[in-house]
Amino acid sequence: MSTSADLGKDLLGLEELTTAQIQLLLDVSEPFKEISLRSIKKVPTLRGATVVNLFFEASTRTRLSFEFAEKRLSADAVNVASSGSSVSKGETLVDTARNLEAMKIDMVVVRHGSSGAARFLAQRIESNVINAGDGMHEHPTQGLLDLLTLRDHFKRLAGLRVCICGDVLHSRVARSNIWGLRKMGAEVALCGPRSLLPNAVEEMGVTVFRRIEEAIEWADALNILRLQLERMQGGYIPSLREYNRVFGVTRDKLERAPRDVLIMHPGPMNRGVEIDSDVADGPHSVILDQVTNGVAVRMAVLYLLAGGNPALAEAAKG
Amino acid sequence: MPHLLLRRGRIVDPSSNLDVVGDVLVTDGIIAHVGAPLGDVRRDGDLVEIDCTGQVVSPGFVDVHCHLREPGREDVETITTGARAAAAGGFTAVCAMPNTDPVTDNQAAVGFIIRQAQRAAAARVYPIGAISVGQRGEALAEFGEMIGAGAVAVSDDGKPVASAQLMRTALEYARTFEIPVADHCEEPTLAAGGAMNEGVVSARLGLKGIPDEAEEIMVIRDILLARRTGGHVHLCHMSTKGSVELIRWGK
Repeated sequence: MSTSADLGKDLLGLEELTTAQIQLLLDVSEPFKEISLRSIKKVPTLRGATVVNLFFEASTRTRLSFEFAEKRLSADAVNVASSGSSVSKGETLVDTARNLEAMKIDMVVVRHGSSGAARFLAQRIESNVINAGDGMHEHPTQGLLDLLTLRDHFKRLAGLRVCICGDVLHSRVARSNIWGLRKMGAEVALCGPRSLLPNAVEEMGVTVFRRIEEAIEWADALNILRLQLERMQGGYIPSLREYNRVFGVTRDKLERAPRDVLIMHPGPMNRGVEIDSDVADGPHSVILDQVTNGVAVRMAVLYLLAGGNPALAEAAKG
Repeated sequence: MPHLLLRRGRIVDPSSNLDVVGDVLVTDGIIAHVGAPLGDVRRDGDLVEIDCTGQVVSPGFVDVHCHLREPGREDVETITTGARAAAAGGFTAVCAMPNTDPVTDNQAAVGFIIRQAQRAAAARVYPIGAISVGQRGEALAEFGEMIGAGAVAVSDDGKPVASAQLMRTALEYARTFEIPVADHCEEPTLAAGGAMNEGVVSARLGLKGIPDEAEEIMVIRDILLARRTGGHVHLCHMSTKGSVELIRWGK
């Protein structure tokens, strides 16, 4: 399949994209939003293209979102999970991919527990590779859907103040958000226990708040990361209860903010840990809009990597 | 055996404080001349003459820290391939670390390496024995037996000696045999799961970093234990500025 000069062969992360490329991805996502609102949610844009969703880690939202995007563009989508495939027999990542490629596929959407796995794959196969999350590195389509959701709400990204809260150390969502937001001219801050923030993260051009109250006072939007429960066993924090007390986003803390603060969360949520239910379901939450936008963003990514002309995205809806 | 004449090389030999352009003559396997250019050399038997213009001629190098992987990982390296690679690169002697499978922690295992090296007939191979049985960090391996079989040092390389008490005992016990105790300096709880140096690059790449302190904590521990015991400690693969400063202080 030909590749778009505008985006290159693969989408591996937001770090290597230019501002113009991110802008293009967000703009091309716009016309694709409408397809999912139709009663017949399908256009023939990617008819005949074969896309493999290669998921080495558990995923519900991201895998389904990609699958909907692929199916609504009429691509043939195949799911491969690590359990029940040759991966569980010890086949290497590259052998798995080469075997898929020998069956003549066009694109691979890959999620893998190791940072760098998507790039490793992209350098070794001809097909377009889309990173659906690699270890603690990047999750570029999540970053893009977060940007799109912020832009929908604020009508701009430049100058916006966004604080990413929680376990940044282990979060690929955080890294994609930091790059995407900074390239689009937003101000980025982080807030969480220092044991869950990477050392030297300030060198990535972000501000660090020690207290969630300070972050709330500063921010236009909070992107609240999932606290992975195994972190407590890992000794990074003493207890979930204390985490909720000190770093949890609660209505009580938000009510003291000088302005309305937009609430985002990449899911899956731990209600009562990093976010309280009345915040997650509250009037400023756009958590489900993020999920809706995810499908449109992934359609745009598939369309552009398949060589689609950005100018024809509106017409491509068919 | 053919005689060998190396012409016009840059002869570097730090042990004799030599750095000149000249000739080296080897007759019957013995170095007969080093230094000033020789005129016509006539010998009975073969004489191989090599033009070394622009090349460095030096004594063989010694690599005190290599992994020959045999026994256990012959798919990666064998004593033969390692000894040949060493010779091809100018190394005439290498020390083989004991983190093989099974671990080189007894005289029979040391003897095996010596015999394989003799068969390889390339660079000389000096085995290093393990500090602890199975490199498990619990009981001392039999240093004396291993030295008797040809080992030249002890190390649990591949793993740190996590227990300060074991390291202390190893340094004390090694004094009898006058051998160095080589430590892989990595504080295991700080280094666990790490893939690279900790810093902004590890933050960017989403890889678990290893802080400098993981190395430096073990460096200072070993220096202090060497001072206490009078043992000879060898600190492997130093990589941080702080370690260098600590070693300077220790010396």
